[in-house]
Amino acid sequence: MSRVFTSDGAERGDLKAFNTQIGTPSVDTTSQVTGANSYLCSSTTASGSFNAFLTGLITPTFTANAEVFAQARIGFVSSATMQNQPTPANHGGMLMAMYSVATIVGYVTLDGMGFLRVLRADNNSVLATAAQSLPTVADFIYLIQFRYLVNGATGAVEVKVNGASMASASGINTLGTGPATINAVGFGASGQWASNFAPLKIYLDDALVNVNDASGAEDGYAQDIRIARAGPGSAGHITGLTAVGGTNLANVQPVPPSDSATNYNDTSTAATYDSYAPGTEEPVVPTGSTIVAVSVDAEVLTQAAPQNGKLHVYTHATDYASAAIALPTSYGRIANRWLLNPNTGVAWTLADALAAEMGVGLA
Amino acid sequence: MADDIRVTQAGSLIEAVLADDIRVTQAGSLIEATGPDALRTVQAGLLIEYVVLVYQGSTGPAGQGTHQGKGPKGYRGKRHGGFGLDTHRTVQIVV
Repeated sequence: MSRVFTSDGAERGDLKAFNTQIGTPSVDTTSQVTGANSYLCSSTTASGSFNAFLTGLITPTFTANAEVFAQARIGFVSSATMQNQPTPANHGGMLMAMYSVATIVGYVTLDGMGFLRVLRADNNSVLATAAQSLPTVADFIYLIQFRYLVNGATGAVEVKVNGASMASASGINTLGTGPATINAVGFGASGQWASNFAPLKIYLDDALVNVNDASGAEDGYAQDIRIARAGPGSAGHITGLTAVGGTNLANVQPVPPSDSATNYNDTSTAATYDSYAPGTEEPVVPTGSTIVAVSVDAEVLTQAAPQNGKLHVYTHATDYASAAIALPTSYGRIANRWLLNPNTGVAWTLADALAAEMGVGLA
Repeated sequence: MADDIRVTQAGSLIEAVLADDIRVTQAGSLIEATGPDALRTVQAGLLIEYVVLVYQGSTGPAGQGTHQGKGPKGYRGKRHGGFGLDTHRTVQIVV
């Protein structure tokens, strides 16, 4: 399994899926263009600096010959007339980038004429340019996918739009004098792009990153995956934690939690947990959709480190716990992903996914 | 530990200085010193990763008032109750 960056977290309503935020990206809960929530990344100036970028660490850090597949659904906030600057030096806006610590290795831009490009970062050389321009009409949503294989001689790059390859190159030097390692992938908006030098402004949602380590089915491009989130809607089959400052259900419902200092559920008893039945998911998953995975996450801390917690999924009247997960000493997110329904051993059905209870407790 | 427990007045309740160091678990019960919590949680969520397989051309079912349309991502449906235009799959790529 090569998924290293599973969910952007927009549906959770916060920025915690990303380790670094540059500028002022925010969670947009009103426009509903790309889903129930999305990120709104607005480049605040037209200077070309990194104005609104979200960067997520991928673990482990990949060394030489890393091959990264990153994707996100991106929409444009407003229509704009393209700036007539098709040269690399005026590359318009950056949409995606791969990092080695703080150094960019490669990146995808939307140039001044609306053409997507893949560039090597050490010398900003263009490795591939789309044959067709991308209409940047307000509220149009694109699935943009980005492949980058780092190699000094047999490197490869590609950018796809809605599943169709728009630009690619192989057998090329994608390394140059830059670093060969990759430890983070960024999404966002940077730089200018419009004829009036307006900053690039996009919606961003459903960001995923796969890394090809030849270890499983998720090597390569991910599908056109969308993510819905259901919070706790009612008590589940077990309530084992002690509510402090509220009720067990209410204490885990706020997204993001605003009263975490006074209202929480706790325990110091091993193997004790709460389970909650889900409320309505957002966005609503259309009938007929294929379920790729179900994840449970929780915002937790321990005051007595080291401690391990477990996440639970309850399906077909049976509880299934994750492996032990180390708990952070200040509030942080833990998550576990079930690719298959642990009860049936095959892919989740939509009905089972929507009915699954989420649980969290002490290992 | 000094000041973990302080009686501020004869006959008064015991004041717990550190949150959750002391908790009375039942009326009439002894005082239980619980120590630090091994686990606290303030949020839980269920995330569903899905792929929409059914595309219906350029228009999907209309959104219902403030509800999102059933078309993929229900373009404008949630805001205006308009058509669920599937911009994701039907956008024209022009030269």
